[in-house]
Amino acid sequence: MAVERKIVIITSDGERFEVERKVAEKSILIKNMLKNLLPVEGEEDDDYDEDDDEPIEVPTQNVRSAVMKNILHWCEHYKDHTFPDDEQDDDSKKSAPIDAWDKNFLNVDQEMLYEIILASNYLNIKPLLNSGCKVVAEMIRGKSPEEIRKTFNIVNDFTPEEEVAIRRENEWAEDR
Amino acid sequence: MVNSLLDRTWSEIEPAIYIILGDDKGSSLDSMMYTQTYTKVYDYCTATSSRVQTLVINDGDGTGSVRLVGGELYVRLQNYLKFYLEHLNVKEGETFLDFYIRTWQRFLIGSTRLNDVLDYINRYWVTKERADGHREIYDILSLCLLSWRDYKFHSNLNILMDEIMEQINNQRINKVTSTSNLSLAIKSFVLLGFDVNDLKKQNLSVYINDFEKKFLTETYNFYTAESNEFIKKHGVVNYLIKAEERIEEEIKRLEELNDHTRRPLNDCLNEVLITNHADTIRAELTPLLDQRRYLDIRRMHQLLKRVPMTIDPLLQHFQEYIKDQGLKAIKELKEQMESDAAAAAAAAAAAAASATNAGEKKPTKKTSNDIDAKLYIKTLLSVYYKFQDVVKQSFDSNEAFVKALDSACQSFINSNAIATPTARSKSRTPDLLAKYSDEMLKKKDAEDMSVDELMAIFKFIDEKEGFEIWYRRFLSKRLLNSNMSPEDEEREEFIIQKLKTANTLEYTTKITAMFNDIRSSRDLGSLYKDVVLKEEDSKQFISDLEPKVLDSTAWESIIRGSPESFILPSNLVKSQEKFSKLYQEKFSGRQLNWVWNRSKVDLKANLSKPGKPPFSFIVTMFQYSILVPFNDNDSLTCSKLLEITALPSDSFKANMIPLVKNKLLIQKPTGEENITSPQTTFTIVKEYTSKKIKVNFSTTVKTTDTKSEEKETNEEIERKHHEILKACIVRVMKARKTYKHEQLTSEVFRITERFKPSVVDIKKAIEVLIDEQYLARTDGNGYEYLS
Repeated sequence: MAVERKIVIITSDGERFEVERKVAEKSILIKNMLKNLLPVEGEEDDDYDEDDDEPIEVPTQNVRSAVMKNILHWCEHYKDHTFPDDEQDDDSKKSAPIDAWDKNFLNVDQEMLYEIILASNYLNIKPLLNSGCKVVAEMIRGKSPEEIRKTFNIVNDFTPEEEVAIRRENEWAEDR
Repeated sequence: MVNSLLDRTWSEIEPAIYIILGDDKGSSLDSMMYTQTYTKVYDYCTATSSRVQTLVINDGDGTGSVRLVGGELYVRLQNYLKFYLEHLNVKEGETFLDFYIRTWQRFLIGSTRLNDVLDYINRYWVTKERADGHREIYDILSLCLLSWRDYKFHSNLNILMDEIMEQINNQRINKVTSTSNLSLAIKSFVLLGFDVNDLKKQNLSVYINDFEKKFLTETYNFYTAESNEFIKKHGVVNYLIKAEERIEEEIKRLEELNDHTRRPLNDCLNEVLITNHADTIRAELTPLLDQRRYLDIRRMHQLLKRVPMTIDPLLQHFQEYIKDQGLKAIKELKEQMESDAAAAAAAAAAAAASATNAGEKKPTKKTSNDIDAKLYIKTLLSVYYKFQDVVKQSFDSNEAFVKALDSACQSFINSNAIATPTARSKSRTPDLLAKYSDEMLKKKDAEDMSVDELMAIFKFIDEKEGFEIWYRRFLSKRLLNSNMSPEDEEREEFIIQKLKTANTLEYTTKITAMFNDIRSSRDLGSLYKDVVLKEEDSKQFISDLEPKVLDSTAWESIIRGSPESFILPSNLVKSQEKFSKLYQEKFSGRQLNWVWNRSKVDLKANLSKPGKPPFSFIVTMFQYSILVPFNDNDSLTCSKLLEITALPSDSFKANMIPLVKNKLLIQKPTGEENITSPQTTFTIVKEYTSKKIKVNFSTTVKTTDTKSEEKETNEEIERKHHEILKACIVRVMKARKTYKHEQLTSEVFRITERFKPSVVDIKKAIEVLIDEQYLARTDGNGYEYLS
């Protein structure tokens, strides 16, 4: 493979994004797929008879182009960065503050934020998923149930009895 | 509703799974199918999850647990894998092994891909289940492998193993090279091992239980049959080569096995190829040694070395063999010597019979006591050197074999037909070795004898103390009877140095002292001469005095003071007194004893025919004392001579015999028995006749010394042993205070160097120490040290 083949990501709404392989491979889903579909040197199956300069098309049925654009922006930013293997999700990582660049990157409207989170889960981009979740967590931190309901536009459908019961159950989590 | 979503999802992904695992047509997976399948699973899991999302299962003990969706899909996949694998069939003309490898390789690729395509299940549902302790849930790849193990592997294990072993045995018999299928099949055993608790950990249980065990048993059986037949057909020597080859081949086979098998395979081969035949192999050592086939022996050692415990009996074999060879060589030498001696005696007897003037010189009968020391030592050495070479050639000078050689040599060198003709006799090797060194040192250039040889045998001698005493005896003669040249002295000192290094400084103390005595005596002699020549009446002294002043501890029992009564001829008294005075001045406090029986006199005798130079006689001091009175008298009676000399009659007789025999004195009446008769007269001849101008009368004097030299030396050795043992016992008891008899005995055995004491010797020493009140008996067979 003298020249690296281009990757074309096709979104649910049919838009095509041509990216470098290492950018696309920030998604473990795409990374694994390329590993499985591109014949490794010496491997026996030579089903692939397409020309080497043909781009590889990667359909991503669950992500729309507006979201993908953002995701790819993130991937581009981190393309030369290797994230540590988070096999063991230790607590220190969980409590680490959100990366400043990510925080700024995720400073979008709530709808887009949720879509980025969902897409990063779908595409299996763990660092982005983590940052997204932390942003949401920040939105909850220190707020009363009422404030939370307001933030997330949630209608309270608990009966008062249920609410007392839940409070009691979750007493341990209260900040004191 | 849920079920219908499940059904719909499954029906959408099943065709893709079929292709991923491998369908009949060999269809390939494309990126659309890949992401579609992934998305379907994702959609299924997320869609269902969102509907049942907050289903909190409250199981009473407060640990609430959220169940994720994915289980039903997992079960469908599980069933599908079973169905898929059970429908994989052997193609026509395909062996089971070929089929197994073909499908296994494809399935392995498929499983890896499926694991990625169905990653969403792994990521959430499987992870959660396993975190909750459900160890029967596996990631997709493991699930695939496990299904293979259950539906393809275990159910066909017998036929699979049979075919694998058939191939391996075919390789062994027909020497065909291994196929890649074989090594792939063996690798599959390794991959199928799981550690239920940690899927990333490799676990060799399948490999060990299903492959290795059978492999080892078959290997054992194969080589049992082969080796038995091979030895029977081709003999041990060829088998050694064969076994070596087989081991090499099997070790090469390890390349395609898991490394775990290295040790058990090694053990198996060692047992079946070596241990099981060790007796047969070792039995070949004797014939191979007989035939001097040292390379074959080397091969034997190389093979047996793989199993260290087979070496010990080999060492014993080897040691016994050397010992036997040593004993045999000496026995043959003895027989040779005896037949030579018998022949010589017969020849001498014949010569004596034919000689008209019989009785002039009696043939000395050779007895077995007169052993040719050089030949004896050379024979010992030849055996030692021969097997030293074998140790080098066949056993790489391995330490254990060097030790076996040394033990064998020590045994036959100390006791053999010549050294110990009976079981109880004391070894003669020390004195024969001392004699060997004496012969070597007496020769000007003993090219065929060397100090190295001497030291080689010395190393093995048990009785080092005995050797030292014998050595001193021979040394004393060399020192007293001959004038050593500086080169001789150098050679003597070289040996002393060697003995010192091989043993201890203390070992050679006496030898060195003897040497130094002779040197300082030389100085004393010239000092005396200088002093005497300066005296006014120097004519009254004997200026050419060659004194030998010897330290009694180093020379004890070799040179003993004269026991005989004796009157020194008056013309020598002044010289004796002068020397004594000089000596006392130089070393006050030392006692000087005169050993007259060892003294010799060089005298001038004016008994020649007119016009001829005077004779020079060498006589003993006693002979001199007998001859001196004849300066004034022509004839003297025995009683008169006894009165003048004060010699006891037996010494008188011994010294007189050579004078009469060599016709210097005429005895009347004749006959040895009449020598000591008081009235017998002795007359000095007017003119002495001899071809030689120098006549030595001293050598034929029979002294009591020569007769009992061996006895005396052995007594000295005994005494020395006794002293050493006493010192040893006292040393032990001083440290222990009280000690049991057995313990004391064994400790004394252990610390006694230079000779091997007998139990009787130790007992005797203990008895003496009790008598001397160093020790006392205690109750219960023990002793107490008395300070």
